[in-house]
Parts: sequence; structure tokens; C-alpha cells
Amino acid sequence: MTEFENKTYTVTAITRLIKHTLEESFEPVWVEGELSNYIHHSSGHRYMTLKDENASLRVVMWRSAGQYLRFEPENGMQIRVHGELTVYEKSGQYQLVARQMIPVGVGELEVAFRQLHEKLSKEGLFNPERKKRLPSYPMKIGIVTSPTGAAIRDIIQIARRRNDTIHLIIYPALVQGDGSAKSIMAGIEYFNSRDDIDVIITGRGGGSLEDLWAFNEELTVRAIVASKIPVVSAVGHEIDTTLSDLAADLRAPTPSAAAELVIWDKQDFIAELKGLVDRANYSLEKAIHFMREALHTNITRGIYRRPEALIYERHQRLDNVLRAFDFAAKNSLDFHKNALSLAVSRLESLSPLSILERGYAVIRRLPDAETIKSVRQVKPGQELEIILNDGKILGETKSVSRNK
Amino acid sequence: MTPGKKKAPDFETALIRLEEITELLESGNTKLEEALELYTEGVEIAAFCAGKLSEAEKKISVLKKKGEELLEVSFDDSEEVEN
Repeated sequence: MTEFENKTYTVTAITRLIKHTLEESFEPVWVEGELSNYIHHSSGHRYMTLKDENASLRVVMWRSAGQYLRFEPENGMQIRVHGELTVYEKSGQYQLVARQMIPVGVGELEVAFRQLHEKLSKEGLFNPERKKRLPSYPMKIGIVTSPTGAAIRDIIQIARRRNDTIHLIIYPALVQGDGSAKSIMAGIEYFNSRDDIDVIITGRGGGSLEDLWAFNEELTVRAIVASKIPVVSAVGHEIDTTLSDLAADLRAPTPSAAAELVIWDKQDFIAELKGLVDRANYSLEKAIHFMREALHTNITRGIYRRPEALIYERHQRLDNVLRAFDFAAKNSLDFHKNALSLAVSRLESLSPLSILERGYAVIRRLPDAETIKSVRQVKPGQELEIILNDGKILGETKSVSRNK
Repeated sequence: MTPGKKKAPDFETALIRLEEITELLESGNTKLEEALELYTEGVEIAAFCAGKLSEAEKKISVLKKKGEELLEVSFDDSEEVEN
């Protein structure tokens, strides 16, 4: 009888026994340590070592559990892992099969936020250059939010106060919990499938980081970036910044602020319109006044050399014409712009006539009918039209000489 | 570019054109006839905008799923509000 006659195990058998013993004696445990040798394999499984100053523990997280991770583990991170101890028979090593993993010290959402922020920044999604300009006077606004939330209530209230012309269209979206990012994305895509939406607002009222999480998810951020229609983000309170805010073409601190930024004030617009029309009216009145003065000066100058009776007669005629014109012009400025243009064309056709009567002529270049004021406008051979009081003469330029 | 012809301009285009017209008139560099044409265009633009603003009513709608389609129905915000 040798000592070898005691029971001899095969490697497999003893390994299985150890495995069994280990698995039987431990409930699922939480283990905390520093992450190292982290490998996220293309198969989707994750392999890593958890360690502290004196020991290390191999950890594996299968793809099925890993798909629920909201952050990407990184070497050096302090993490807490929940799972079961088991033995990997092939290498004879015990390991922790992780079901769940959370960062220690910082919240997992903070880590996830930082990581996604870094990733999307690198892609240039938050670059100011790719932000679209918002239209100044949108008429149709697509709103992706909860139809029962505080955000839509605030937006409607502001729309009622500022502008009843604007059409608001609400896409009822989930803004919290499972499927919310997908729902927001669907809303943004829906409005992009239409061709009548000028701007999109998406957001929700305030809440915890967890509540606002849909606006930090990659799906939401990418939908905002892909939108051809400018997107205004309006999430939570002033202090909250989400990745949607960074990706949006305009970030509003709150839903109310988004409404104030997008919904233009109707009364302000009307006032601006009125201001411009008033200025145009004033300018036109001035132009007509100036024309009238010029005409007056011109005619009186010509009449100076005439006998007195004629002067009075002509003054009177002129005064009549001008009075009639003033009346017509005033009327038309106020009400009838057509009457005005008629009056002015009458004025314009009248004025040269009264001069032509006195033997002056108007010479126009053909074919462009430009009035000749200088010999520089004419070259020999140029066809001219000479307008006199009672008709026209067509002529051709023989030569041109200039006064010295 | 008179409103009514071609595609109706949006308010932004209309306002920019009206500003341009006003500035041209103010510059005093236009002949009277031109000034009148510009003025007429300006008045038409203002009238177009004012008309569009007055025709509108309060419009708030919400999308409701009907089969595969989304329909716009009038939004009643007196519904109970959570949050």
C-alpha cells in the first residue's frame, strides 16, 4: 500500500470539485477594486482584472450583461462589481462573472456623460461651425416633448402672449425612462420628413441627471445633429447642461426661454413694419417736395425775362398745378398710392411742357431715350429725338463740340 | 419680387426688402418715378405681411397616431398636467 493508493483525481475531476465547492460556498458578491488589463473583446465579452495593493481577481463580463452598461470601463477606474465566483476549468483559475458594474466615487451617469461627451466632441458634433442659423420669423414650430409635461405648458403660455400667428405642432414623446431617446429621435426625424417646419424645439422640465438622461443619449444627440431643420434644446433648469444642449443649434436654458427665443413678438414685428412704412412715406413726401421746389425755381427763372402780365398768369397756372398735385399727393400717401403715381406722372408730363412752350426742347438719345444733359452723352452719328411743345423731331448728330 | 407673384416671401425676406426700399428712398438717389415704384412695392410688402398676420388664429396641434399615420389634431392643454 503506498500513499498513492489513496484516491487519485484527474485534473478535470479535482477542478470540478473545486469549482463546485467555490460556487456552493459563495452567494453573489460585491467586490470593489481598481480596474486593470481591461479588454473589450470583439465578441462583446469583457475581460479584466480587479486589484488592490495585495491581491488581484480576474473578472469577466459576458456580452449579455455588458449590454446594459451605461459607461465604458477604463483602466485605473475604481469600480464595484456584482457577480458570482466561479472557476474557469481550462486555465484552472477562479474568476468573478460580473453581472453589474458601477464606478465608485462618481456616479455612473457622470462617467457616461464624460465619456460620450469626449467621443462626440472628437467627432466634431459640438463644433460651433456646424450649427445652423435659426429663422427670425418661423411660422411653424415642431415641438418634441411630453404633451403633459411642464415644458409644453410653458411654451404654449408664451406663444399665446407673444404671437398667435405661429402654428405649434407637438410630437408627443417620452422624455424619461426606457425608450425615451428613441422616442425623441423619432420626433425629430418625423418633423424632418415634413417640409413645412421652420424650427424644432425639444426638451423637458427640470429633474435629476437620471430624469434628463434621454437628452444625454447618443441616439438623441445624433438625431439633433442629423436634423436639417434647426433644433433648439430646452432641457431642465439653467444649471443643467446636456449633450443635446451642446449639439443643438441653439441652447435655451429652459423651455420657457426656448419659447421666448423662437416665438417672435407679433406686436414688435408690426411696430417695425410700421416704422419702415412711416420712414418710406416721409422720404417720398420729401422727394416730392424737393421736386416741386426745383420745378418752381426752374420756371420762375425762365419767366423772369417775360412781361409782368405773363409772369402773373404763369405763376397762377403753376400754383394751380402744384396745389392740385399737393392735394393728390397727400391723398395718395395716406390712402391711394395709385392716385399718387398718377398725380406724379401728370406732374412730370406737365412740367416740361410748360417749359417747352417757351421754345425750349428736350433732347433724348435713341434708342435708350436717355435725356441729354451733356454733349458727352452724344457721339457723331447718334440718333436723337427732339421733343418740342407740339411734337417730336428725329435727327442724327453731325458733329459734337464742347464749350471751352 | 412683389409679393403675390411667385412664391410668397417669408417675413424675413419681406422685412429685409422693405428695409432696403426705405433706405433707398431715404438716400434720395432715386428718381421720382423710381421712388414711386419702390414706394408702391414697399406698401405692398407691408400690406402682405399685415394681411398674413391678421388671417391667423391660435393654432396648437398635437400629433395622434392613427394606424401607421400621424394626424394633427387640435391640442387641448386643459388636460391634466403632471410634473
